[in-house]
Amino acid sequence: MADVYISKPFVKKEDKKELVKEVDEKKDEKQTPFKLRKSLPFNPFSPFGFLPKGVDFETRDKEEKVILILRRHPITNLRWVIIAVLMSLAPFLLRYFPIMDFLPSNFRFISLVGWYMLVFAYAFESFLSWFFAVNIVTDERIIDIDFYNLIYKEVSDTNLDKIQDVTYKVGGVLGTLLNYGNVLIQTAGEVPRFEFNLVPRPEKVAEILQKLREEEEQEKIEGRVR
Amino acid sequence: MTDFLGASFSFFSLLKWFYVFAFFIYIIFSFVIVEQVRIMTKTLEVNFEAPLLLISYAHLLFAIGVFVFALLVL
Repeated sequence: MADVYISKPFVKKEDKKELVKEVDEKKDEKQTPFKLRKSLPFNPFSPFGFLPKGVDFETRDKEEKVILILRRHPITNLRWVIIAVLMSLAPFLLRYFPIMDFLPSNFRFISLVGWYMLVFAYAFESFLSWFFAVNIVTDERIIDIDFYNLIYKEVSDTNLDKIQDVTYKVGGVLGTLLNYGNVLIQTAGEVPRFEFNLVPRPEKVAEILQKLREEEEQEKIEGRVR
Repeated sequence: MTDFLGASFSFFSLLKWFYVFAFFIYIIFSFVIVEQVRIMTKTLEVNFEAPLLLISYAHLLFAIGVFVFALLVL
């Protein structure tokens, strides 16, 4: 049988040095504590922001660094999007169910305008509820910001060193396919339980929380606690 | 006939003021949305505050416009 020779891909010496440097930088990056790492560009609509640049919140300390910002997975908006689309198309049904034909044209026009204003208000309010209901993890604590309706806001937080247990669950067809689920955090603080509901990559969230807790322990040992 | 016309007149007149009142309530609702967006953007900043505030103010102005339109046209 003839010998088979498989040539290795040719890599120039300079490129090889660059590749080795890149691998070393990535290794160093992984070992660098989160608070010392560079912030990364952040899309404001993203449901998962790791080391997000330009994110701030009301009660943040000057030296506190945002490590993670989480929202519910965008697929959870499907329900109100479908309802808004159906509501937008509803006036076309008037062609087949002429319930407003008894009204003069100016009344019909104003009714249509009013209907679309209601549709817009519903869609906008649903969007705001999703957009601003976030869970934030900083290098010191975890914060849960909830806006239950237009006039009710709840902000709770707890220090990382009070976290006792982190559990995550991924379930259902969509949850498994799109990798989103719940992260349940048991704490020794006043709020005994934090739940990050329907967030993307819950396993990554649990991993980051674990690493942050280790870094916090390390800081305590070294006496660098703020 | 006069009675019928009179009844018709008062029905649409009543309907007009119902619409005007509804749009007035909607203006208050739009104002609450503006305030809420202001509070939300103060609580959390993600570099998208300006467009959201703009949309909420535009919505409020539109609601006022529709109210005036309803008052004049109906």
